[in-house]
Amino acid sequence: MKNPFRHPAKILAALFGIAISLSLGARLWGVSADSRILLADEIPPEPIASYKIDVQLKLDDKQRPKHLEGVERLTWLNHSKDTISELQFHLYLNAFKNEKSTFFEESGGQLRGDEFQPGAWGWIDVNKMKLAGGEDLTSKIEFIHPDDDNSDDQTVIRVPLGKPVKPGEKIALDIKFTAQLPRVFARTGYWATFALVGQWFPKIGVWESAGERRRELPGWNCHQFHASSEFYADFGNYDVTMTVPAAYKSKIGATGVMKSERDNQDGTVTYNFVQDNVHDFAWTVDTNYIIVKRRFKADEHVTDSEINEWSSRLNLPVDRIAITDLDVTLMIQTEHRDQIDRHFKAAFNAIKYFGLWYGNYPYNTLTIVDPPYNGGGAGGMEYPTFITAGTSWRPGLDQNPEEVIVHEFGHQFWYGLVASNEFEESWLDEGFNTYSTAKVLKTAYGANVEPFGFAGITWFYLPIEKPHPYEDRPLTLQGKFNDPILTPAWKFYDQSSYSLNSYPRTNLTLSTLERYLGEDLMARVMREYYHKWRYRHPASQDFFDTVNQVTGRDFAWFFDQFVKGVGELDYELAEIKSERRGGEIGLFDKDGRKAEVKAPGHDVEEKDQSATYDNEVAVRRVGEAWFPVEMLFTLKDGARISAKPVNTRDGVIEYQLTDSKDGRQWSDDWVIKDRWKKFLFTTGSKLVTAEIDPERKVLLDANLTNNSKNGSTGVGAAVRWSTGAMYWVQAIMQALSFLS
Amino acid sequence: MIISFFVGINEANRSWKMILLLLAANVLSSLPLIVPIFLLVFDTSRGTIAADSLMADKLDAVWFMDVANHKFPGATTETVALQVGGLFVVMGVCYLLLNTLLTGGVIGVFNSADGLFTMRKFWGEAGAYFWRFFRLTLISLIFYGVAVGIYALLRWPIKNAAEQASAYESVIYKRWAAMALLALLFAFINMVFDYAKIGTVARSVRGDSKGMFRETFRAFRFAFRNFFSAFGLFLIIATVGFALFIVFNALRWSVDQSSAGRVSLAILLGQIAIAGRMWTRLLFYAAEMHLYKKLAPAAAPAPVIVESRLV
Repeated sequence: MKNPFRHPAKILAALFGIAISLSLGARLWGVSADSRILLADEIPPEPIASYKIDVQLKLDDKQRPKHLEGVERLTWLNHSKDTISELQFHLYLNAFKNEKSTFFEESGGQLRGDEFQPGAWGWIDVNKMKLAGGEDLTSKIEFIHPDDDNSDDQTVIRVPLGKPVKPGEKIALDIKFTAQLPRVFARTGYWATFALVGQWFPKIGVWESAGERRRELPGWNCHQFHASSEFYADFGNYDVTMTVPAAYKSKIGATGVMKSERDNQDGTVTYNFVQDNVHDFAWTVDTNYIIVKRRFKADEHVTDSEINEWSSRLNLPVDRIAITDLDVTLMIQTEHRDQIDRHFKAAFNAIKYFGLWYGNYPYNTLTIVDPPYNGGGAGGMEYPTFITAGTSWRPGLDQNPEEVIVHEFGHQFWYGLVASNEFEESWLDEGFNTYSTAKVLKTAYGANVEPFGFAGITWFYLPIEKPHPYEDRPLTLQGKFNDPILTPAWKFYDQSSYSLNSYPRTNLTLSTLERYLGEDLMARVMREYYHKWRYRHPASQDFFDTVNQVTGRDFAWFFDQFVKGVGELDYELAEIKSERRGGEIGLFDKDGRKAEVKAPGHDVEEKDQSATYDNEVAVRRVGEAWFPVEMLFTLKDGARISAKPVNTRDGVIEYQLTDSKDGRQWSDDWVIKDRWKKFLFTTGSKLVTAEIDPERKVLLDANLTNNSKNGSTGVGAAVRWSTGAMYWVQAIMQALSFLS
Repeated sequence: MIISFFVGINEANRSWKMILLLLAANVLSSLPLIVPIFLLVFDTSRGTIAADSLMADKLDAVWFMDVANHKFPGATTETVALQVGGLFVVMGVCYLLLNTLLTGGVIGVFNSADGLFTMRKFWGEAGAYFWRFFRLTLISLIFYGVAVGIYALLRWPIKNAAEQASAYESVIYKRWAAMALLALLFAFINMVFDYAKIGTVARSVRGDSKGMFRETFRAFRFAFRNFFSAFGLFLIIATVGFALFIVFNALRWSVDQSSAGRVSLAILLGQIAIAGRMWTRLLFYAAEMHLYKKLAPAAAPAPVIVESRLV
């Protein structure tokens, strides 16, 4: 036997190879932090932008938490095939430096119901930037404005490199910065003892190669901070150490998990938080917080039957529907302490249903922040594993704070994990999340109510039901659209158009698609999209492709009209006619002679008891857009004829009509470009009702009041609601008589 | 005070014809707003399945907003609020004037020797005192304005405190206190002018152009001299009336209006609730009339109204 140790180099190489293989094997199936075996599509890619930050929060002369001094080590990977000769960074806080910033020019100093307080400015300065152990880049820093011609905007910098970064190369930069938080405005800032520290450090932009997100040329995707935009960054690992005044001991929360707490014995306390595989980091302090921790345990909140149900509906093995446990920390204001259970219930419902429908939330932790009164501008915002909510002092039974908690948790999926570009394609996170939020609220809480409140209290609820997602129709469909959904955030007509298109219009669009496809197929689409694009940056076309791939059909007609277009969708049931055949009067040739029929139904020669009705249903396409809508015709004897679109091809919608009475079927075509269609058919009973979209699937139909025709008089409904209104008018006027 | 309360109840109970008259006036006054609503619902729902779905307890908000969006295209919330609000203001002013007229009739009937209602007596008294009561209403607006001014002055520091607060609880309690003070001031002023009207009728003040300022002064004097009796009586009646309205209101809203029969029941209960408020109003005047005559300086003897002279 030959001595195996004769060739140590070969042995070493073999050992090295074994080690490589083991690590590769681990990459194929991986292990999660809670020891669950991860599948290939659940494994995060290599971090691109990792930050290790040491920051100190200092109080101003009025004891307000305003000033930040930080040192940042950024480790950045050039994951592209391009050689990169400059870096670009976001300095978001400079949007609040003065009124000349692009943000201020676009917002006019107002956002999300808040008005900026002049004098309470915010800013960030990069004091020093150098390559670790290398070139000092400080003097090369230059402000740029890639989106407009505003040379006064200082929210983006470029830093040319002496030595370009090659493909696959990793560089490290040491950055020293100072910053001042504004008074709470546009998601970040201080108020009294509270601070929400968001978008607070120099953050590198995203390098996109040619072809990535359908880009033609490679380059930096690093937009200025606009009034109607949010954020976009690469995934990485965050290790942040915060030193805060001792007054905030145990009153701090952040992205990720707290690893250490140290009392420095000098009036400050230092905390360390870490989180891997995220693309942002935010934190908060407030002496008024009550901090409550609870653990979401899947087997307490998700039943086996629910898992089995969704396993079946999604056509996936049961272990793919598994939801992992996690710690949930609630940082709530003292005066809202009676709402602790409501907050946790909302969060647990969100974790449960997002997990069942789309995929497991992969992090161990979630922190929910309740901003104080006058700090609401920091509420309703999402950061990875860290969300800000907000509630009122005595909320009623309407779904607030539930809606905001579910919505902000939902952003962990749409934006946090599926990291679309919030600047350029805001619908992919806001709209997707609005759609998902409505589904969770509908499932967990049912229809919403409309409260009537005064002096901080809900007095009663109006007799109005607001089912999800229909509550988004009124504002969305009240007029013509100025912009397509697919518009860069800062290029919408105004903030109102941005909000309408990014949130409710996308909700209605996706809800219509869901009703058209069926809930199960849509769930498979969304799940596939989530799993395919988690930890990545998808573009809108990637979602369109996912829909086509999962459904096996081409939905270009849908997305071209309703995401890329502005046409209104409105079908009208114009007219119904149902005429009994026979009984025509006049002279008719019969048996070689002329026989006279003198009156309808009084055939002199024969008594014909069978009735046949010739029916005509006229449907008009009032709007520019088209959609294969279903129809339902009801006869006097109770029989129903359904008209369902079975095929859309070559500019024609093929309908199949089915008579429920005898199962008779026939086809009819509607040429798409035609503005109207008359359905002609005969029945043995009179046609009494015709209805377009009887199941209200097409939420985008701008006007549902013209979708039906029947013989109703409307008197009963008019009496019902006018007398209801009369009661209120009488009561109000009687109250006025108080003055007489 | 308690005796006056029960006397008032007795008088209000036997004045059911006046209650019906006041209710009829209230119903007729609401029609300018209700008829358009009826026609709107009728026009937009007839011949559609919405007519059936609207026969329901809850309003189909989807239908309602589609009607709003398409029946009034281009209308903004502001223009609609302005138009509806404007109509409400006009209707309110007309109703106020009508009530000023009717109040004269009510107090006149209660002031008469037999206290019994007849149409001639009622309308005769109403006409006789309308102008004076109208002037009293105008004078009362000055005092209501002062009350609002006091409230605004209180709200100023509360608003400043709210802008510096980081907890809503401290702010809301202050706001409630200010609103409670405003409500009490309004109640007191309302009571004073009730007595001003009662005093006008009780003393049969006629012909003096400055009489209403003097009556206002006398009423304030009466109210301050007999503060606990007068304001106590007022608050007791207000509480009873409010409780009555809450009960009938709750009954009305408990009816599921998803059928014609139930809609009719809801209409009936609603009108009973409104009639209850009319009854409360009569209770106010009857009880206050009794208290006034018991405590005020000697008034003119109650007139014997011979109806033949009113032809």
